Amino acid sequence: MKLLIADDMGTHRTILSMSLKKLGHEFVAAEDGQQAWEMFQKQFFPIVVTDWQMPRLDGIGLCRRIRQEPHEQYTYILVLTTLDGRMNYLEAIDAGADDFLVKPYEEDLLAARLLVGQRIGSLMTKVKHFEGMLPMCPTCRKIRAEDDHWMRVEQYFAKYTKANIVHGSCPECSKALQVSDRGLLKRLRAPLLAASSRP
Amino acid sequence: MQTQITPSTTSATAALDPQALQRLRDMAGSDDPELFSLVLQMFQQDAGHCLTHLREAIASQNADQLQKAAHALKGASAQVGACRLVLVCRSLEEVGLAANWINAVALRDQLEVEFQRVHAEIDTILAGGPA
Repeated sequence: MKLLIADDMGTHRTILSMSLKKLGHEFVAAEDGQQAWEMFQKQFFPIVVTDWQMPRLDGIGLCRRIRQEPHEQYTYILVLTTLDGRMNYLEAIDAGADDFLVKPYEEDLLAARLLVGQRIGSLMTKVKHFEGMLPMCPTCRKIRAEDDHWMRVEQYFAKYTKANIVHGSCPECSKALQVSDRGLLKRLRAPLLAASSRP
Repeated sequence: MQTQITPSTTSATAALDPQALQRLRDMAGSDDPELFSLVLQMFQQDAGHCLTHLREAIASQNADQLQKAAHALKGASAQVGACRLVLVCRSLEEVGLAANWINAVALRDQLEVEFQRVHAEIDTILAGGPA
């Protein structure tokens, strides 16, 4: 797992690099929020550790940009800053950060935050996987949509995707229909029949 | 939780807190001791830039720039255990908030003296000297 870190001060960047190396993390470093954002657009990062006050684009702006654009996978954002206090914490979380740690930090607390980040990333991947599952009736082939409402495959795709369903026979079925090959048609329909006969 | 910024009692005159330096050495680990030196070199560079911004802010009476420069220097100083530098920066942040330019000039002078002390101590460490 590769992390993205952003800090405009070499002192902080080097110290964070030492911690990450020790904790066994791979990472790339940006020298401000804008550079981090450009790197993020080119490559997905599951964890971003960012400073708050930086030239060009600050850490809060970086959080907002990451959250504004839809991404396939989730990015855990840790704001690592010398700005302490309740109001700063709340502002960072409101901008899209997942957690907040004040510099100079205790290394074990950074490690704990990164562990949480990995956990959240893994859970979000599972959620995406389950979101991608479609419950289908094995008998009538209807799909269960919202509010336990069952609908035909064509209706489902028309409602939930941008795809337009148009009917057309596949080459195998076309050939079987042309030669009235009842045996081939039966074989082509066999998986459907087998599914519908399952208890 | 934030690491406490107070000078340790072992060396009242040291510009850099020995405990903070040991923490950095531990973080660098034995595999790559060069990283410890790199942090100190980076600090000298960062602190120099902050000081330039801070001088400019006071000369132009720009309270926002003064606060930002003092805050940035305070954060970096805390990392290397430059405790007195942290305290002066904190005071500079406050005078920046209050736009008290007479006190700002006096604090800037204190900061310049303390920065020279820190800089010299880092040079000694980088040359393989004490601390």
